[in-house]
Amino acid sequence: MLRGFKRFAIVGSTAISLGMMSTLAVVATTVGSGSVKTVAAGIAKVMAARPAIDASAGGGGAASGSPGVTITIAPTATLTARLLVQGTLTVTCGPLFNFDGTLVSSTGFISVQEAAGDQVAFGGGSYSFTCSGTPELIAYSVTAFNVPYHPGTGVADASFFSVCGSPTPFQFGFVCLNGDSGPTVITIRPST
Amino acid sequence: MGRASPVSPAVDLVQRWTLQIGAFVLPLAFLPNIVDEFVLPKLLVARLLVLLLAGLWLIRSTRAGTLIWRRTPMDLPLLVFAGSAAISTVFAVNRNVALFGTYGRYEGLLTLLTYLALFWLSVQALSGQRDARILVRSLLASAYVISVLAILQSVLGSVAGGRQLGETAFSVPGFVRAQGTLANPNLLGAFLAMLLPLTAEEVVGARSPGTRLLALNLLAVMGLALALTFSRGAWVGAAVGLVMVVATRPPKQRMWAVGIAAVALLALGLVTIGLPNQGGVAFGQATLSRAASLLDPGGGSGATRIHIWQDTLALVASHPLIGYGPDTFGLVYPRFQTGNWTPGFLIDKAHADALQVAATQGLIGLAAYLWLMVAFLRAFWRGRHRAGATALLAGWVAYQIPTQINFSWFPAAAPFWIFAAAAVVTWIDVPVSHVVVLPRPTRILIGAATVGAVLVATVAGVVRPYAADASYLSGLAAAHIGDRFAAEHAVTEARQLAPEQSLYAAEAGNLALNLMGIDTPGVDPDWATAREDYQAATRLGTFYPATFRHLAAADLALGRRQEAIAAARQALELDRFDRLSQALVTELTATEPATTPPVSGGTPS
Repeated sequence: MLRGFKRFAIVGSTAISLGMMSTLAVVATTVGSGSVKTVAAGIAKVMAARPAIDASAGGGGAASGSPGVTITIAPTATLTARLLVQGTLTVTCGPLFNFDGTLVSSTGFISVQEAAGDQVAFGGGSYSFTCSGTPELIAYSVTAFNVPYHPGTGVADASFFSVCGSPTPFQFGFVCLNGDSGPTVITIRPST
Repeated sequence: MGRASPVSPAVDLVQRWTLQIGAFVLPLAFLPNIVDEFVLPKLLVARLLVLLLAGLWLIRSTRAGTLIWRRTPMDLPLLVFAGSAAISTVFAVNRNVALFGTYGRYEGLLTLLTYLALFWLSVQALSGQRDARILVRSLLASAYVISVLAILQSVLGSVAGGRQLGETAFSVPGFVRAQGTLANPNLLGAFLAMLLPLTAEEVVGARSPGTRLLALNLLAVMGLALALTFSRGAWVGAAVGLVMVVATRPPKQRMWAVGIAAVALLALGLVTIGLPNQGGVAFGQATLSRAASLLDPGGGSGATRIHIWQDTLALVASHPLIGYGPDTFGLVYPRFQTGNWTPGFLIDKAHADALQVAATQGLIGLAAYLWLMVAFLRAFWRGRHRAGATALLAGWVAYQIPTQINFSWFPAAAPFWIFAAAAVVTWIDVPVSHVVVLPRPTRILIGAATVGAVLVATVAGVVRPYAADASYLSGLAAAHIGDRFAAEHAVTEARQLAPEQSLYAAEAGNLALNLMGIDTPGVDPDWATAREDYQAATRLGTFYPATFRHLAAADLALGRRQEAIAAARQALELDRFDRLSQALVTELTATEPATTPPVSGGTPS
C-alpha cells in the first residue's frame, strides 16, 4: 500500500511540476494568456462568494488612511440655468480588484457651495469612477439644492467612502479606500 | 538515536501523529467565514495544537506515574526570553496590546508563549531523529500544497489583472506576488526559504531514483513559488541555505547537486530569455529585474527600511532596558519617526527582527534573544556530524536572513518553531528527566484536571476568538448593506466574546456614529455611545489615528472641548503626516471656539 502511495505521489507530483512550468510558459504567449484568463474567470465565479467588506487588518502594513488616493477638482466649472454646475475632476485610486481581476468601480459625491447674499447656495451630485491605479478624468454635474448659483467663485468638495476590493486579483483579503479632495476654490462661469 | 523507551506507546503515538498533522495543517489554515481569514486561523490551530500536545504530555506523565520531560540547551534561554517578555508586558506602554497583540498581528506575550510552547511540546513529542525527520516532511508536504496554490494564485491573478499592478506588498509591476495561505508574499518567502535546503537535502541524499524524483518535484514547485513571491530577502536566504547544503555534501552527491542546479539554471534561462515578449505574461523578465534590484539595497523598500532602522535606534535608546512591551511598536514608533517613509501606511514593525525585540523587550530581551540564537548554533555544533544536521542549520539560516530584514509574524514564525524543535532533536540526544513520582490518587486528579483544563482553554482560546471574528464579519456585512441594527448587534456580540479587541470597539463607535464618509457621521449619530466605544478602543490600544479623530468629534459634540483637543493631538501624534489629523488639530486649537463638531452632521439629502 505504501509503495502504491509512493508511486502515486511520484507520478502526481511530476505531472504537477510539468503542469506548473508549462503554465508559466503558456501564459507568456498572447494565445495562452487569453486561454488562462478564460479559465481564471471561471474559477473566480466559483470562488468569489464573499462580499467585499472593510477589513482593516491584514498583511503588508496597516493603512493609515487611503494610500495613493487623490481627488483633484478642476479650477473652473460652468453654470447652466443657474442651477447646474458642471466641471471635471480627476480621481486616482487603487488599483482595487474584484476577485476575478476586474477593476472595482464605485460612485462618489461632490458638493459645491457659493455665497449668495446672506445665504449659502448649496448643491450636490454624484460621479462614477474606477479604481484603476491611474488618474481618471471624470465629468460631474451638481444641482443646486436651496438657492440658485451665480457666476463667481465657490467651494467644491469631492469625496468617496469605503470603496472596497483586493489589492491584487485572486486574493481574499480586502481593503477599503476613502478619498476626499478637501475644499477647493473653483471659478463658476456661465455656459456659453 | 536518542529514542527514549516509550512509557506509554499509545499516547506516544497519538502525540507524534497530533504533532505531524498539526505541522501540516498549521501553515495551510484558512477560514473564509471570519474577517481575518489567514492569520487568526493559524493562531487558533496553533493554540489547539499546544493544548492537545500539553494535554497528551500530561496524560502520558500521569499514566507513567512520573512527570517526564526532555531537556534541551534551549530551555533556559527560552525561559529567560519568556521572562523578559512578561516583564516588558507588565511595564508596557499598553498592557492589553502587550498581552494579546494588535488585531491581525497578535504578537503579544500570549503568542510569544505559544511559540515557546510549540517548540517545547514538539520536543516532548519527538523521541529521536526519525521522528524529527518525519516532522520536517510534514512541513515539506504542507509547503508543497501551499506552493501549488501560490503559483496558481500568482499566475491567474497576473493574467486576470496584472496590467494595472505596481510595486506594493502584494504585487510587482504587472504581476501578483505569490502568497498562498500565508497572507503575505514575504512570509511565504521566508517559509519556503527555510524548507528549500531540506528539500535539496532530500534530493541529494535520496537512496532511490523514485524518492529523488519525488524530492526533485518538491524542489521545483517550491522553488517556483519562492521565485513568484518576488521576496528578495527570501531569495538570498534560500540561496545561502542551498549553497550550505551542497557545499557540505560528499563529492559524489555534490556532483548530483551541481547537475541539478545546471538543469534548473537552464530551465530558468529558457523561461527568462527564451519566452519573453510573446505578448503574454512573462514572469521571467520580472524575476530578472527584481533580482537586479538586489544590487541597489539602498533603493526602493530598502531605503525605507534603512530609515525605519535609524528611527528605531532612537526608540530603543529611549526605553533601553525593558522596551515598550510586545507588539506595541506601532503605538510608539510615530514619536520617533523622522520622515513620511511609507505615505498612507502606518509602520508597526521595525522591519528587522532583532531591532523589533530590542524595541519591545529592551536590551534584556535582546540579550535573551541572542542567547537563544547562540544556544541554537551550539546545539548544531554538537551534532554537526549527524545526518541532516547541516541542512537543518541551512534552513535556520535561510529563515533568519529574510526575518532579520523583515519581521517575525505568526504564519511563518509558528512553523519555524516546530522546525526548530525538529532541528534540535536531530542535533543532540535530548536527555529525559523524571521527577516527582506521583501517587495514584494524584495521577487520577491530574488526568481529570488536564482534560478539563484543555476543554476550558480550548473554549477560551480557540472557540471564543473564532466566534468573535465570525460575528465581526456578520456585523461588517450587515453594515455594508445598510442594516445598522443587525450590524450593531453582531459587533456587540463580537466585543462580548473578545473584549480585548480594540478594533471591535472602534467599529462599534463607527456604527454608533453611522459613519457615511471619511470622519462624517450619518443620520442620527449617537455621540455618547460612540464616545464610550472610542474611549474603550483607545484604552485597549490602537495605532489608527481615525479612532482618536472620531473620539475628538464625539467629545466636541458633547461639549468636552479640552478632551477633544487632547484626542485630536493623539491622532496627530500617531501620524503627523495625516492631513485630516493636521486639519482637525488646527481647527480645534484655533482661537475661536468651534460651536459644532469638526465632522459635519450628515450628508446632504
